[in-house]
Amino acid sequence: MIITCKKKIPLRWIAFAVMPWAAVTMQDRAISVAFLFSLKKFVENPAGLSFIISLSTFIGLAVGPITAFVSDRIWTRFGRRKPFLIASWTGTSLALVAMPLTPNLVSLVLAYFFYYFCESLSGPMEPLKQEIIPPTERGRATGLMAWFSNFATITFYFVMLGRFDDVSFMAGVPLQGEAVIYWSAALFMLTMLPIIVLGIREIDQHSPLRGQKISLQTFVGGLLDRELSPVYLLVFAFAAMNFYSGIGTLMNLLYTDQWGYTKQEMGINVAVGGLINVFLIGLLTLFADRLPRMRAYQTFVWLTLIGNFLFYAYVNFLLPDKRPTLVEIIAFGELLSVISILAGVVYYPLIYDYVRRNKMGTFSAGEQIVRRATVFVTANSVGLFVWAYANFFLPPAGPMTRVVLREEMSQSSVVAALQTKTWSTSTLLTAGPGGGVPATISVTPWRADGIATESSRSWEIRLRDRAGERLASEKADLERERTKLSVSTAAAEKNKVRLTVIAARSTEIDTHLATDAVRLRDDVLKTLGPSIIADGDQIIDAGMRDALVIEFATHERPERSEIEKILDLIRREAPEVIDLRPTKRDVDYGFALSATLANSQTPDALANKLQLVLKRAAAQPPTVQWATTIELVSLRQSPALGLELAILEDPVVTYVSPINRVVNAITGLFGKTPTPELRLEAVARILQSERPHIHVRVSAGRQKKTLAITTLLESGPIEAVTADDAIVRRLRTLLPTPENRIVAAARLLYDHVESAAAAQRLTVARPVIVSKYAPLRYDYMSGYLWMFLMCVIGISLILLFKRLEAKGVVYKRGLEESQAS
Amino acid sequence: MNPSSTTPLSAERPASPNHHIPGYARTKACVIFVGLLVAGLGFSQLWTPLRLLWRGESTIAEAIRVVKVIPGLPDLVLTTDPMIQAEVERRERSAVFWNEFRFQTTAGRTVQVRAPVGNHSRPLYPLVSLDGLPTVDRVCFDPTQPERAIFPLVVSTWLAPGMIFFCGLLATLIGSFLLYWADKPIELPHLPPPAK
Repeated sequence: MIITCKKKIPLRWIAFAVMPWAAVTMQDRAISVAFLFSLKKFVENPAGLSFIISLSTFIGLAVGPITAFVSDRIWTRFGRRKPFLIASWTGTSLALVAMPLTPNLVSLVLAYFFYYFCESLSGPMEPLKQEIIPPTERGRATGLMAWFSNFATITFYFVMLGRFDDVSFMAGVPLQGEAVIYWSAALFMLTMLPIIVLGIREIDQHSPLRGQKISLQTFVGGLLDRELSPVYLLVFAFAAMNFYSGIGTLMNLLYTDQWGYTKQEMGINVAVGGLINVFLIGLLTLFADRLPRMRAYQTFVWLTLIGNFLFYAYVNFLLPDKRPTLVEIIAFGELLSVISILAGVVYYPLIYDYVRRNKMGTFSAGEQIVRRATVFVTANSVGLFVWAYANFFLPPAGPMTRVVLREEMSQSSVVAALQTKTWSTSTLLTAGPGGGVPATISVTPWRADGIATESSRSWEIRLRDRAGERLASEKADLERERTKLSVSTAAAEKNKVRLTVIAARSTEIDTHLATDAVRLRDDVLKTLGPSIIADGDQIIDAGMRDALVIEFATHERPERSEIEKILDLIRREAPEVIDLRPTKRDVDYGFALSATLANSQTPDALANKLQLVLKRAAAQPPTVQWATTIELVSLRQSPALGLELAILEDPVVTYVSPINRVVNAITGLFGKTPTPELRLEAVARILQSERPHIHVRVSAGRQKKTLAITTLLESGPIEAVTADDAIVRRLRTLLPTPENRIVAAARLLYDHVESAAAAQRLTVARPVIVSKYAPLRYDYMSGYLWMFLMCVIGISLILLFKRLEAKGVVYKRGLEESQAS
Repeated sequence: MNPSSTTPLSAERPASPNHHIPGYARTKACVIFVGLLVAGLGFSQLWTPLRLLWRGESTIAEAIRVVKVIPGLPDLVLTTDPMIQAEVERRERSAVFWNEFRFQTTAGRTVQVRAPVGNHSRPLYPLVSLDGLPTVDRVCFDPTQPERAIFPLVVSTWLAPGMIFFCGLLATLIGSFLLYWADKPIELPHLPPPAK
């Protein structure tokens, strides 16, 4: 149905030729993502996991280029590229079928290596695709291929990956989710095999390279062919700019370590981007062959540089906390993704325009080597750059303490205050001349939300400590050795003696580092003395109120979103409302509404008012039906406890970035604008997740930077307070009754609020927030600076290539050959 | 197959020197046949859940407990989420957690069923959802035999048979395309003499 070397081909040929890329992508996802979980069945050690996975790179680098090179120099009755593909796809499918059946680590790793060996045999796939698709239609083909790949990726992440641990039944036979993933990928690939076997015919071009002796000399000579070597400039430039992954693997650390997003949120980012791309790629494909390739490629390269620079500037200079929201990440990610897709759609057809069909295999071999080597070097160099940047410009590794002052102070005032007294000799190991503040100390304002201000109440003080750094590094080495030695119970038993030594040394190091941090803390507390907040002063107020709890019954299950909508509306009309919580009754459902009772108000009056307010709120569109037909079940009074706590950050959102303003305006059309109290609502939800039936309200306090928390005092038993610390003493002073049970409840609430607020990047003030050994802090965004440099190098190489083309050193031999046929 | 100089055996008419006839109609028909067989196998496994989804009764079921099953050991019944958390497995692949649900039929009968999909590391659902109420899921069941129930929102109910059905259909489609063009001549390109 399809033959190679045609000058023009119908769209169905293109679709058929690139459709297998969906299966190739599905296989790739299975082997790169699902395999990690398969491996974890046998190996827990991360070093072992990454070592095994990294071996595949070497197999690919050794076998892939050779097969591509050989495919230019052979001819069989089935063609010169097809036999490799048939062997490759059959082999990878068999390996995938075997993987979930492997009983131990050795057989799993063997199957993995066999997979990669077979996968590397598909080196001639790209040359075959280019031989089928004439140069004038390669843009469309690349776009369509990207569409199929993207579709397979979304299916894998959305539908398949989460099913890895599932067990279901088919025809009465138990079926593991792991097997379903691998076998689906294998079946998908085998389904595509008839396209290659029966659907494509390679035309014999009587290549002069056919029968050439295959040796190291011919391999190197072939790769350095004078027709091909200038084209590697474009390959090198493309790989150095690393279009698709920005700062590479550091991007993941930027999301999780620096910005604090979860892997799930990262997945949402990928999935949302992927869904948008399904439509965008389809649209872009329509125009792909209408663009002048070299000019378009140069434009996209510049746009990539500009886009990345804008992202860098937006995060570093516009956002006060230097932390983009998921929406902003998706917005910029999508913009850059579209540019990179366009660049990719233009790039592959462009480089093959310069290559004749009989040398496509050889070029593909060289291209693989140059690309993989460049990515390897640039990916590692960005890591080195980030490391060097952190060493020169960021706070050093060493003992660290974060303290909170009574009033806001500027950095120079804090440094001046630190200089007023001589530090203890123990922390003066690296002190400056003549005593005073150690020369290698770093004083920076600190807030959990990352907003840096000129003056602050909370400060992070660090001491550069090379000896401590060496100890921390030794501990990390010991930890790696420990995981290696205890990979299984048998191994742990065998290496018992060494493991004991490691455990003892680790404890010794921990103690040493902790002691240094305590010394630093004591020095700082002694030096800053009266400027530091007193423990307990963070509790601005504590009190008791009477509250009313009204319970209703309903036949329908209240949905969380409906409850939240009603609660939001009720609180606007009746600020005394504490909470609205769903309840499970014997056969049906119910909910309880709580509110504080004013002195002059009777319970019945409040209950009547709240019922009316509740019904009005439920009736507002979209109407919540179940809440309009409720039955009052009971009415009871209960004591409510209130706390007001000083925090270091602003409790409500005070700055909305330009992108978020646009998004909020759009979501506002659907009545879903996020409130400034977003984080306070989240704190309340965390408190509720710990105790599902708790009634709690978290709001901004009366004073600036304070939190007000109101909760119903639970009637169940509460452990008596055993500690008599500053917080308990402060609570005893503030609460109207020193009753032990109430103080215990208040203390418990304080502890819960402190941890729940921390999860939302709100910090309850206290003299010392933390004191510990702190490793070197990295700013992964600095990797973008390196990326800009790479982009400039890439652009320079493209300009050099254009000069060579202008001089006639390189010209579009592939395109000319196609037009001549 | 890719014969370069011989006429395919199954071709209906010989190719002219400037044309190529793909041929191999019988082999391509076999691809269709195999595709239909695979799609049929997938559909046979989809039939029961599809029938219950379309023709069965549907309601909301509440999670009531989780049973942890390890071959050779007595089943462990877990009735609270903290109990489940304590039993969550990271490496023990022989353990399977099964969610059990309770629902009421329109006839008023209360039925307790085990979800047909389990999980090796943790139950598919916690017993209590974030809002403090029992976790619920949609269930479709046979009104005459309510114990025959499926949970249509559990992806694994559909995944394996769905993939088999999809791949079978795709193979049939590919085979049909190949067969349709099997006897249609394709003009061969005029290749210039190869450059050195």
